[in-house]
Amino acid sequence: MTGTVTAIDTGFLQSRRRRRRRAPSAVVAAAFVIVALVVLCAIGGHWLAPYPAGKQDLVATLQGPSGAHLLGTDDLGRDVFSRIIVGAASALTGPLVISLGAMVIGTLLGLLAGYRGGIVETVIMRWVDLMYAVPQLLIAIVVVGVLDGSYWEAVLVLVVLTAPGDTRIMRGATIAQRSLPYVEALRVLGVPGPRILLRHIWPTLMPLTVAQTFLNFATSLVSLASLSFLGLGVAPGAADWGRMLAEGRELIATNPWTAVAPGIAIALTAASMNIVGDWLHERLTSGSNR
Amino acid sequence: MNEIHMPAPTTLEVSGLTITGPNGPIVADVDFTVRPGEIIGIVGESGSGKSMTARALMGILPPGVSASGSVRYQGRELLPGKAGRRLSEDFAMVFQDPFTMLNPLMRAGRHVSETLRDERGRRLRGAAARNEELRRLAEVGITDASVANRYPFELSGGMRQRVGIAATLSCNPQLLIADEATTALDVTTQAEILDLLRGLQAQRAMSMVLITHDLGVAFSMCDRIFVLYAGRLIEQAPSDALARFPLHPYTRGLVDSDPPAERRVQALSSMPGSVPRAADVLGQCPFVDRCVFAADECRAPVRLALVEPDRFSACVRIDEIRGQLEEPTLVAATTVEAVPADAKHGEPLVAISQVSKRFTRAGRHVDALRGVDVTVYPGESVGIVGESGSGKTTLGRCVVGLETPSSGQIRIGEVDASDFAALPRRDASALRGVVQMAFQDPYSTLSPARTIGASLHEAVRLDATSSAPTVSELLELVGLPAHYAKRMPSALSGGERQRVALARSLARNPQLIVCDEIVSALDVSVQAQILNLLSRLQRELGVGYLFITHDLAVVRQVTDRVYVLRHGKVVESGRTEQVLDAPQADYTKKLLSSIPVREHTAA
Repeated sequence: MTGTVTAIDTGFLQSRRRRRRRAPSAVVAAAFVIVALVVLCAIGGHWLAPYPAGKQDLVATLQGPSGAHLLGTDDLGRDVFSRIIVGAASALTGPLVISLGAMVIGTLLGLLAGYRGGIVETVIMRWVDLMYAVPQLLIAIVVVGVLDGSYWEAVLVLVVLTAPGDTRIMRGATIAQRSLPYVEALRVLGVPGPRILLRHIWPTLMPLTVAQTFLNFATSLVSLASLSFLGLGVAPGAADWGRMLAEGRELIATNPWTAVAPGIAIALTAASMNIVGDWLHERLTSGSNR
Repeated sequence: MNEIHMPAPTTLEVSGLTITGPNGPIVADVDFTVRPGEIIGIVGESGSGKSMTARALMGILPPGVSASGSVRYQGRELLPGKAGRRLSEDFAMVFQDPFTMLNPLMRAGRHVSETLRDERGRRLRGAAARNEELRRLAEVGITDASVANRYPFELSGGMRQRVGIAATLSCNPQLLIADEATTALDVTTQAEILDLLRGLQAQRAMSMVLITHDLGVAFSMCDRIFVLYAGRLIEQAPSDALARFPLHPYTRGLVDSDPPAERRVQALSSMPGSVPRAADVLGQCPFVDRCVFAADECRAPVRLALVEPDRFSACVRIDEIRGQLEEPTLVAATTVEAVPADAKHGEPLVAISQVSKRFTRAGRHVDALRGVDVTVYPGESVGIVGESGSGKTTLGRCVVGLETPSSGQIRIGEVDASDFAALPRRDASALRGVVQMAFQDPYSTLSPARTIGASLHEAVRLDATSSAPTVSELLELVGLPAHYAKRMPSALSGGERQRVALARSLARNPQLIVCDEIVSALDVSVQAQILNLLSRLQRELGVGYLFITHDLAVVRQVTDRVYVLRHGKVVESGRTEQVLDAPQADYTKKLLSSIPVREHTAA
């Protein structure tokens, strides 16, 4: 029968995959280290930083990197290195809330739309289409600009703008699962629909959710930074990477680190999050795929 | 010596072929020969290594798998060699799956002319290519010239297999290897393709290696048969001799587990367990753990040995047990009468009347069912027989509410179950306790990340009444030990998974189980176990079956009445033995005559 070749093939591939899984590549390891560092800084930044983030030293402004100031100081004499460390908190919390919020909303709506179909699906998906049709960052700028422009407003707007992407992905995946034999078997058995959705389909789609959440994290980190670069969402003077980037722009001739350091921090964190998300996705899917 | 006893010239001579994968040997020490113009069969169940053997001959082993030993083709040694290159002109292979072996972007004709060259070694073009394509397609029985211009997806399975064969023959091979070439086809198409292969083989005086799991196909086609088990050859014999009396307990078991199409037996003789991995049974008789004749000497290495003129067996005890092997008692193939259908009186459990189902996709209509009437009485086993496209699966899905009929009515007991979605929740839930379904592929119906116990418990908890069986009771019912509850589906063999699937459908104490091709993906020895299990459950629990299958021999063993479906219509129905013994409809006759005949009478 068909078994001979395929059975051996899959066994073989699995063992190979398992081998690869045991030793993540250097890039993945580096990404993990970076993410861990960012998380550490976000939690304990105030204790770790050599200087308080807001402490001005008008005598030592715009210094280059030195032993006392690893990345030099800005135009108000604030230590750039300390500000990067403390800035990790606002760089992390916002995107975390956005990606988790989008995950919850997107998963619920996507599962519902995909499994129920009909009018429920139509309403949800037309809303998604609408959100896709508008220029997202522009809407965010306008909304946050018109309101009083606080950080959490920006976060909330970005949650609403990110969720449609998750919804669309989850709906597609749910539709694909709905016609699979195991779901049909459960339906014939008489297992209620909500239980099938939450206890069977959702766990199967978990890897997808995880990957998408990490991806969203990276995207919203950049979006939030862009907003604060434009002066929205974060109060002036706060230790925030996007804000620092904007303020350091004019100082680039005297101490380039004031602009380069936050730029690198944003790019590295976003890239690391993507890599970690990809790796997790691969790991989770190879585990559940037979 | 050799010069004096010159054996018949051989086309292909394989000796000591060992195929090793990353987890140890897959095939160990296999010898066989193919003489010019001869058809040999390599027969084995899944896991026997037969496909790997074919791949080794063709030089297309998957990465990480290597072959050693000797493969001599017309005196030339082919191993070790560069993969794929050496064989292009003299051997060719027909693959199993006609649906994936053709390039979907190439027209049928191109597949045939792709490798054709003129005498100066140039690719054929234009009219020359076209003429050659048509000539070669005609050779495989395709006389409709428009077929050459069609894409694979526009062709039926049998047509694709013909195109595949024409493409394979384009290099004018002297040896054709057919790896399960007809397994994926309907029985009538299979008969046509086998006829075609036989005709081509005779016309071109080719040799052929037929690799199959189906003893019927092997007996009807081959001159000599090699039986492969767990990567080892355990018997070799001319096919008529093998059919008459196998000289190895495994072959005996294999022949006996194959359900006879011409009579119903009390219980199929089935071998316990399933095929072990080749690597686990290297130093002993590979069959020892399943063999009733096992003795201490079987634990030592065994080899294929001459036991009779022209016959080889790897059973070390063959001389002692021979008498018992030939004894018909082992066969247990006593003919029984089916339970008289007249005994089932009263109200029908399921009444399907004038049910039609039309699928519409992209503006095209397909009528899967056109006015089907089927009645099932309580405790009765009813067969639905048909080829692919007959609508038999759609019918089964309508009964359990996975599809909603376009018109007509399905009554289950007192309830109109035509549209499950429109039923009140309480009624729908009650119906689930009456009618259940078992699917073809038990693996894909079990959530891969859940243990067997969790999957069964999911089903058990739905039944609020105290009469609900426990997980361990369910496992016991289908003949599995209770500790299987802790296992994952991936740790089970195909037969065990099908048992679990049956156990799950039994969790709600149904009166009817719709069985959709539940044994068609299983090896014959395992199929026999499952069929016996179905009969036992029917006796013990009084559960009925709506048994959907393409296999007439199987339907004979487990059903009381049968409906023959074709293109969504019932063409014949009645008591199973009546329909199969004295078919009225032409289509039923054609189906029956397409079953490969075994030229023997076992008992």
